[in-house]
Amino acid sequence: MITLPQTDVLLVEDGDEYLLSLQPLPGGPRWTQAKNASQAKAHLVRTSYAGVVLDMRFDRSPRGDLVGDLQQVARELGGDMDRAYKHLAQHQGLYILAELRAQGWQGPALIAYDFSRELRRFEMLRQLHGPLEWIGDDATVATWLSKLGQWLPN
Amino acid sequence: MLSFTLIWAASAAVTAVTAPLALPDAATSVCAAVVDDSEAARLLALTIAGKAKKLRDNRDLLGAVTTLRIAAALQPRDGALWHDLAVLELQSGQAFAAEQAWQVAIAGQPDLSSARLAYAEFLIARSLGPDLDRAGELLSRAGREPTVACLAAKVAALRGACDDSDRLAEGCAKTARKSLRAVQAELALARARCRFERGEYDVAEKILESAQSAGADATKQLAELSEARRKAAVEIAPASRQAAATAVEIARRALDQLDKGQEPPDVSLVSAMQQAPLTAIGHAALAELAAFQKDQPRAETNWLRALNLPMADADRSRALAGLGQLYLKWSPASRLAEGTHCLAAAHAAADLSLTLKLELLLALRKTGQLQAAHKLVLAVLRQAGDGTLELSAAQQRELHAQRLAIEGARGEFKVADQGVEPPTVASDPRSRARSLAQRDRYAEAIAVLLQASRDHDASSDLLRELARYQRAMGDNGGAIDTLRKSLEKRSDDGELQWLLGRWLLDSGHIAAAHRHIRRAEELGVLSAAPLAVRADLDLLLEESALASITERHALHALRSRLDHHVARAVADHSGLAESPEVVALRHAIERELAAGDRLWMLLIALLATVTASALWWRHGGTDLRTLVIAHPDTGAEVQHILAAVRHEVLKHNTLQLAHVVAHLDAGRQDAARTVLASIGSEGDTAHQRLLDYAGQLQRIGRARGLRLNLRRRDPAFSALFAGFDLLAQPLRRLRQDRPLSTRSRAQLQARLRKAMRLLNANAYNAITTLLDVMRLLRLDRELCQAAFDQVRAEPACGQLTIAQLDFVSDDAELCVAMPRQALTEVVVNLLRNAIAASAGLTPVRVGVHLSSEVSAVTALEYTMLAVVDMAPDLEPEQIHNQPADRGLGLVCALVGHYGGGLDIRHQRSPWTKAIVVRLPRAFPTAHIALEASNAIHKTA
Repeated sequence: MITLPQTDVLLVEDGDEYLLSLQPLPGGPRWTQAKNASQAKAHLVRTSYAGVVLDMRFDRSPRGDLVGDLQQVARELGGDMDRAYKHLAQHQGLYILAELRAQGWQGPALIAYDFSRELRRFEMLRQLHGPLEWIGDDATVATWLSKLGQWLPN
Repeated sequence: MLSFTLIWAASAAVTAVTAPLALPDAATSVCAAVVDDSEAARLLALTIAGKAKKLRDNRDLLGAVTTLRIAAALQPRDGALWHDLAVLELQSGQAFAAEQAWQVAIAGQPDLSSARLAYAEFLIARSLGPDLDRAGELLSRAGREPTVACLAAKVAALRGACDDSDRLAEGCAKTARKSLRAVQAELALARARCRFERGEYDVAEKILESAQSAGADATKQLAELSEARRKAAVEIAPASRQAAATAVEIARRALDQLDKGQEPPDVSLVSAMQQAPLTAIGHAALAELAAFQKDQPRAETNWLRALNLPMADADRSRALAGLGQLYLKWSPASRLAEGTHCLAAAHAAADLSLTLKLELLLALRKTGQLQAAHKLVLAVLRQAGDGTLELSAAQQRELHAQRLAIEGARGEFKVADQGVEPPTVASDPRSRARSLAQRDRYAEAIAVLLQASRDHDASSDLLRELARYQRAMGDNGGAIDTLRKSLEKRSDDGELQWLLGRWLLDSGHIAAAHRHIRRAEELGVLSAAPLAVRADLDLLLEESALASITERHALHALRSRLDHHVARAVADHSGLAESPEVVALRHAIERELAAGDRLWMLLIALLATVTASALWWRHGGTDLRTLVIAHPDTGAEVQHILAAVRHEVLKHNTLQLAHVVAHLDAGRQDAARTVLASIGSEGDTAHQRLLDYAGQLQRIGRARGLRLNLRRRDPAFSALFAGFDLLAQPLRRLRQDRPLSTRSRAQLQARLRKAMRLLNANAYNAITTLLDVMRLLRLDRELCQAAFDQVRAEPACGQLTIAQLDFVSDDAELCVAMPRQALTEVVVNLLRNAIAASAGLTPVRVGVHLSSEVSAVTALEYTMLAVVDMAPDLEPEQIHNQPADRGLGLVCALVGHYGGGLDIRHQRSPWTKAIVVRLPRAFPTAHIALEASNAIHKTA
């Protein structure tokens, strides 16, 4: 039986699936949900969190809530604004993390995305964004418990 | 002595001249010998004439003529002798010699009336040129014999002096001598001809009729007269001819409309007929119109008018048939005899339609003309048999019924008549009736039997006989009623039961017929068995349209009954074993059974086809990998969808399913249900999203002509669908309000774990693997050089001096997730554009520089392909505003499709600019093949 520390963890996702799934975990941390980058930054200003769990895709968020250099992305994609928005939504977890780091938050982050086949990219992400772990989409409860146990500071 | 010598010599000469070639010389020598002795010559002539008579009596006409010529030569003034010679000459065919002989005879004896008459008759018969004048002259001195008057009248008639001829004929007619009859008849014909040629047809007809009554054959002359009348009616003035043509045209049109059941406007027809009242077809049309309007008297009048005028056979037949039908349907009472007569006449004039034939048949029966009816029905059946007349089965059955009815009645008569000749006057009503029936007076026979049945307590036999006559006369209803009465008196009479059954069957009362026929069969009537089978067959077919399929057992039973009957008939030597009825019945049963066999085969074939189609639909089709291999252009789109499936459908399942299991462990059934519903129930659930994505993929496949069978053939999606299917039952169980038992809970949990494995392990791995194998194309020198060579070989580059490709790459393992063809297209277009832009330079120098970039936020790596040249710079708008079907526009579209972009960058000397393609970099990490995924799925 894994025992998790009773700490506060900020959960950033566009829906409620993770909250609904993680909140009932026995002996789990206290979860605070943020739906976008600005809410996450506000929470981090007000409260000290042991870590931040980030969803990767925010395709249900309003376009106005998405963070990232839209113009730059659009230029890289041949000037297509629609594709630029989709790109931001698809990788929004990382853009939010970049915002949080830019705001000065240096705590551990856990991103829900399967990097098992993109380990090279993940290593670069670590170099870019500091302490970062990932957990795959197919993680079981046991995997989550294990991952949270390792990831959260005691 | 001299006389004796002469006679001897003449006799020798006659003997000699019997040989025809020696005749002239022999006669001359004899004449020379006797010329001076008149008495001797007279005696010799008499002797020779006697010999000639003997020869004629012995029918040696030639010898007689030759001999008589010698005699005549000896007596040139003997008119009688020369007349006899003339008659013989004429009889032997020597008309010229005969005429000469008569002339000699009359010259020798001018008052010889017999010669004058004969010669005159000869001239009258010949009637050449002045013959008639000569004949008249001869007759004027021929005395006062009646024959002379007859011939003189004939001469007058032949000369065209009809009135003189009539006057002279009165004298001829006064004599009633038998020998004059032929002469009188010829005179009548000549007089008729005389009148006929003067156009006095009525007088001519009267004379001809009197001639016929006198024994002359005036048929030909009467026919000529009729034809002349017809021509006279037709040959009218041109104006009238036009009116007649108009009337005929209007009448034909009206008849056509009436044939179609439409009522033509009668004003124009009536008007046309007023202009041409002798148009027969016009009267016929008016008649049909009147009949259509139910105006019987007018119809009858017009038809009768039409029939009084000359008509073509077909028109006459139609008019007669119309009139016949009018009479048959005459209200208030049918004019049966007249109708029958008209229909029969129509039938004689031209072949009638089947309907009219049947009407005629019935009419003949009703009027008791059974022989004619029998003849007609046999003729129609014969026509049906040899195929000249198309008859339906029902029509044939009806005709057979009529035939049987007629033959039945005639048979009854014959059976009853066997042995004793029926008395002409008999006290027994049955005998009287038979006597009448023997003379085809069936109506009277029926009247006799009906009277007898009213007067006395009629016997069964009497009623039966009455029924047969009624049926023969077409009164089927009456016949059946009478036969029923007969049966009431003798209900155990199998033959009667059989007969009534058969009649009812022919009348279409199948159920009632069936009862009587079955009863007859029970009473041992052998011939009832086929009819019973037939009744059962009809009943079977009437009750079920699909009897050939649904009632096969019953059909087999009917065939067995028929076989049994045949066996009995063979044993009894009854001759019924292979009767036409049995054969036809067997064919009917076999036909139904064969139809059933065919339908079964058809059903089986249909079922097999449906099954094969269903199997093909269920297990056929293809998977995503095949789609992408066959159509690489779908790769990017498929990848996007698969990534979305992986993220949106799969990402939370593991956790949520785990919670369901945890809730179940804790007995929180409601909570488990809520969580499970968000995965696999209706609405915006993971399952629904999966279905949406699967639908998108199937549309992509269909657009390329492939049917994707994701549920059965694709390893990733089949695992997904199987997992969701497994979730459906737990959800149903959880929706029930009853608390779960321990066992049920364990079963649910086992099912949920299995679903978890399918969804989260198998499906996830399969999709990820599929995504991996769909990527990867190495972008290297080889690919770029091939594209460069392709462009340089194009005609547009033929005049240019192009330097070697400047290729630079800072990474040997640059891969992209893009089909080779699309990437080659991108490189070719960029190089072509660069060379074209540098066309003013010599040599033209272009290069391909490969590198990679990493996003500072997402750490996504990109393969950068820069095509450099020395041409003047471009603005970004000049790229993005290009048409998307060629050049940079096409490159822009292709790159965008695969998640990349296009940009312009300035370059350091010696280059001036670079058009840079940015594509997501892919890595060869697809270590797990799809086959492995399949294996996992199968194990699960």
